[in-house]
Amino acid sequence: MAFATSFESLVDVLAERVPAKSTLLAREHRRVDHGLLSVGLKLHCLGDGARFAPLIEALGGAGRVLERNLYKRSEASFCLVLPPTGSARVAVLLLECLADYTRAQIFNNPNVQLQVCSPGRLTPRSAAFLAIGFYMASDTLRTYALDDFATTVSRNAYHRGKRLVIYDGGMYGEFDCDFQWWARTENGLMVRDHLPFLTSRTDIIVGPGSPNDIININLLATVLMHAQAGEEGGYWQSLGELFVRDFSALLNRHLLLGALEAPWVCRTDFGGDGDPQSDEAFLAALQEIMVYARSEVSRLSRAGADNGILCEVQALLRTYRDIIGSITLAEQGERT
Amino acid sequence: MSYAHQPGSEPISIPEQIPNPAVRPKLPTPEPVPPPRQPVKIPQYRALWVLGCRGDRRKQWCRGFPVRVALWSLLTHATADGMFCE
Repeated sequence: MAFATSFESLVDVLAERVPAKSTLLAREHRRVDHGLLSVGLKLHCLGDGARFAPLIEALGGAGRVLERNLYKRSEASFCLVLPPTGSARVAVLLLECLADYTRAQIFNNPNVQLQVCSPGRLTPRSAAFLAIGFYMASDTLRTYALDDFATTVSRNAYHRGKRLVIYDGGMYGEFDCDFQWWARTENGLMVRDHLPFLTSRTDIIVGPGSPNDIININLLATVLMHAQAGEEGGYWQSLGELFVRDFSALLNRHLLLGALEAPWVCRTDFGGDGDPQSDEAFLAALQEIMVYARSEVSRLSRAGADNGILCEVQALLRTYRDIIGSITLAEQGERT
Repeated sequence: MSYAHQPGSEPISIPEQIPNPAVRPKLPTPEPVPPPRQPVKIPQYRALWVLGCRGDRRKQWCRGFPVRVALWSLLTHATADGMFCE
């Protein structure tokens, strides 16, 4: 997956119409907040995407910006692959800049669907936590259909099936690993200058999304990736393991633990569980989650209660966000 | 739009997305209101000294207020509480 352009070229173009925010973007591009992972974004534009035409033209034209990539949502007219940023905060700022430049609504727009990318491949079980956590914590509870996840690589190229969570394209991908990685050593925090991944990513095909979705996915992907980091020694490893335990207990209380066993992500390249039967098994688990969340909405609106799974997931994410946010680089150690 | 229905029954329309009631929208934080400018008490001797100054120095001490303010406060015996704004 080739980036549409370099970050520097994008900022230069955006600066013509959005000078103040572009300056901030250029300054903050590679800044990593509290060891959270970097964030990549893809915009799948449905409809004609006419508002994006001047931007694409300014970046070098469709041939250079769009047509190098095979991948997009099946229904999309094009997919704009944005260069990654060091934090969710800057990713949101980048989308705000794009909205200002194009005068198109980007957040919560059914015609501009977001895909949020996180470095590293989560294990299938962690991918399930990521998907369920994202869904339950989102501002909106969506009714997904299987075809909402149909992409140009569902049945072709590297056969990713139709899933909410999708891995990278392997050796076909382009990956920017020049972001800090918070590692843990015997002496505490050690900040490495590069991510410990070559090309691997785990993405969520959000659909119409909000800033909150990007921030939540970034938090979930970070704690889950650090929990499984193993030899890489993610600084948040023990916190991530605690998160997995807490989230498992939460799902168990609501009798949803079995949903984790579904094939939330296609695990293998070139076939494997990217077949239609596996897609249906994934959809059954997703529907179980969607129905449970919707029944909670009905219950909350009737009873005016402030408990239940939706509130519990919010509280869980808030707790872990506060813990991570309370640790700063200056307090914890030296850059290496 | 998605539909869920039993075979033979009327389809039930389900909205594609509904707000998550557990997510409380963030209220915009109001701009901090600056406190009202407090009068600064200038002792009588300073008002006299200011009046005795010339040119730039007087302007500096009067902080942009005309000399007549200082003079007025002096003449009305209010100079102990005479007020010049910062």
